[in-house]
Amino acid sequence: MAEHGFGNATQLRERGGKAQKAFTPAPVRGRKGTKARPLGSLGRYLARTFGPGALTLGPVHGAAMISGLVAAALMVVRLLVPEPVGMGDQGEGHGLVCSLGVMNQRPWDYTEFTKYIHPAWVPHQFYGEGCGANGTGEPNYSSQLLLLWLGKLLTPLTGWGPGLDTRAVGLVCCVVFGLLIAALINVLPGRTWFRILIAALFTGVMADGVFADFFISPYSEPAAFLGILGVSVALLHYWNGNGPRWLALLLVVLATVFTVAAKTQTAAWLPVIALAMLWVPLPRRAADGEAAVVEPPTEGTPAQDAVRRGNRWRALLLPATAVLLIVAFSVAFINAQPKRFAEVNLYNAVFVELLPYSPTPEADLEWLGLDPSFINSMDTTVASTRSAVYNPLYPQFQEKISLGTIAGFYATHPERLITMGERGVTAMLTPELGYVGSYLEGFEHGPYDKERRFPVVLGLFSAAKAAPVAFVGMQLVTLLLGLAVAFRKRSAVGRLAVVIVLGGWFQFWAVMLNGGQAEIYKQMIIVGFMAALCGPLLVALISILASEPGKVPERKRRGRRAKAQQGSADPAIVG
Amino acid sequence: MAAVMLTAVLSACDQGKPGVDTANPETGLCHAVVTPEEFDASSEPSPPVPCAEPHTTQTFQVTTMPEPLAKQEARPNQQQLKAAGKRLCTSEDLRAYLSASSRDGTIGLAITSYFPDRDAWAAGSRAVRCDVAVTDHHGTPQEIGLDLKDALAGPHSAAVRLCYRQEYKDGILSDDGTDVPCSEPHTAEDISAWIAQDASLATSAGREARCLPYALEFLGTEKLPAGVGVQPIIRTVGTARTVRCAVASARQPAPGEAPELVTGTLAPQRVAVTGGAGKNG
Repeated sequence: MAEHGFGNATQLRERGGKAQKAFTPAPVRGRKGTKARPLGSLGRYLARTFGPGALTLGPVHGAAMISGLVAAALMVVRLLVPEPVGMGDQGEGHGLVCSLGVMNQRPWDYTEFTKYIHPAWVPHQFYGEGCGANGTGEPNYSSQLLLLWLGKLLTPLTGWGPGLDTRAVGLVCCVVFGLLIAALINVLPGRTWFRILIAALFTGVMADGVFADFFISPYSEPAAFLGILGVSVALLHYWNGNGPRWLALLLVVLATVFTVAAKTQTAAWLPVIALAMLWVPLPRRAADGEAAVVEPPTEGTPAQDAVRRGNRWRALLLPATAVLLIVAFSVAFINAQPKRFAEVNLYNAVFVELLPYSPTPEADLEWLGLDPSFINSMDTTVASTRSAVYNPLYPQFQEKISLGTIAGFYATHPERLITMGERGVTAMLTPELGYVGSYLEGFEHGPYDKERRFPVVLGLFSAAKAAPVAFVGMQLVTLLLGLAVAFRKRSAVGRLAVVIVLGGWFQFWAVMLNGGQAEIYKQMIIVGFMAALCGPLLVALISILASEPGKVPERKRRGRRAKAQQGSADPAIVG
Repeated sequence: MAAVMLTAVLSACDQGKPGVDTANPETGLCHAVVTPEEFDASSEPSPPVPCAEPHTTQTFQVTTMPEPLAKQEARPNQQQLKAAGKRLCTSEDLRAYLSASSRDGTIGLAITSYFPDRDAWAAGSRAVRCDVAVTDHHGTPQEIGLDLKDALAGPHSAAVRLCYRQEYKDGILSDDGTDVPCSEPHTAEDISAWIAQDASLATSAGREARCLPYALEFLGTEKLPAGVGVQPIIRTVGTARTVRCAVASARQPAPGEAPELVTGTLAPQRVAVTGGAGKNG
């Protein structure tokens, strides 16, 4: 291909579309001969094939459709062939799924039913408090019900009997995932193969058993995973600035509402979503990855300045309204959740997290305004025999402890957040739920056996446990590169990286402060999923930053500047 | 569109029918409680079913929540209620309901308690409903068609009586046996007399002599009837050895032949059954 050792650099630039003579001096200590190094050639080939190139926007429907189909098919195969794999129920599933009028066919005994997955749910009429949050009958709402409902419609058609089979729910999840991958390819910038590469990496994350197995389960995590992907796609579309703005915002609102309604902990990334929505869409041209034209400051009359300011505020009106809608929905949704959950979370925050890890638990009880006798319930859950609920003074706990109290405690004891954070990161890096099985009983798998056919995330997380700081560092790098791509390359992918990293951190602390150590591995799954998405995003960010098309040829830049000075409509100038 | 679908799904949700009033439960009613969550729920308003039909629980007692919990305006949480239920719904109360004598050993009976739902509690009800369920050896409630009122005094008591199935090896029966309900094949029937083993109970003859009075009391006779013998078993838990007095069919098997496994009970019928159609015995 290359006639001499440094010919490729020139060729690459020429492939950028515009011939540009680059100065390429001969290396002082270069290799003799004309052959390119194999690794270098491979790297250049990969860069040519999978590099983002010019960050062009716009749908690539054919590639998107095929990729979506392949992604969905791969997920179906990994979940159902040669035998179904899923996530065993630890008792939480009933509270959600029973509202569809079905009961799980499973052993009665807790230790028995957690050993394997039991996907069949048969029709059953519940009365009163038999259905809902455990023991209280309070309705448990989640957007996962939408997927479960579709699964219930699909179940009779698949021959898995009457009622609901979570394998059918898994099929629904795979289809939705395929659609999201197709949409992701359409909203990513750059060459088609670059988009396919990033979408494939997203699929790789989702396909890891620590996440994918949830598709065949009665949990609400699948709605959260798919919701996060949906929000990512919707935000990219919104920031790309293609199509009607109100429609793009509506998609963000719907995806966010779906995600928040999946699990209440996802409401923690609302502040980040709000900022993301107020982060106005990129100018069309700049979104193409090209350097924006810097407009010289122009002298304007006070009236003109006022108009410009007014336009800026008007541009924020629609997203601000959308943010308010989401916040209103989230508040209403959180209030509609079972009070029992809130009580248990507060209990865990005090008796499972705050006191057991305290060097001075008695002093902490005093700070919280609780009777010293509560010390006897340290390190217990509500279901323990030493539980504080049996303390005659338990109403004191119910009166005095709220999320605000917990937040106030940590605000005045910030040093405690360090060890708490360490425990949280360790838990996040342990995403495999070893206390529930992955397989159906009778398929030659022992009780609690876990499925690890595609342990990419599990492997990386397990390796990162040796140096959790490095993992946090990786997130920090993603954040910084995201900012760099967002501001230097003007690409929406950079913004998305910022939202995913910050959103994950917000959720991390929401989990740790509201419930803490109790069942922390499962609570951290969604945080872990967002952290795992940093992998594909890092690849995208590095590729974009390393790509040449960011440098706009001087001739083209001059042309644009001239065009702008002529007063023609410039998409770079927003509202 | 997603919001519309979500609304449609939520409205299509069948959270559970209100069922019957939980403020005034009645003793003797039977219920079909099928799932662990229903069994452990704070209240249980499913409509009662005839006890002759398949059901899983039966209310054996209705009592009132004592203070201080009874004074709470808001209903106590599930753990508090269930802890109170354990104190209020005792096995002694259940044995009285079953008309158990002091010599009746039972197996597979689980007690649970139910309380008024939040609305009924707020309206002032403090009734506590004590239910019993017949369970298998895993603790899973079984569907039965038997009225448990006075069940141990009636002819259909085998399903809840404790029996033992001993192993037969090298021409002798094992000292211990597996706990089974008497409605299943067994070798001996418990007579609720458990004695810590000491030197006087080292021999088979000594154990049989010690258990004989209890066996006579169980059988309601002054001497052992023909075909019935005393056959205590020895249960070892850790280092503690306990002699559990039991009776069995005295028919001697042929040499080298395992003793016959029997089903049913040797307990005499004491009073008439109060209702229900038994399927055990």
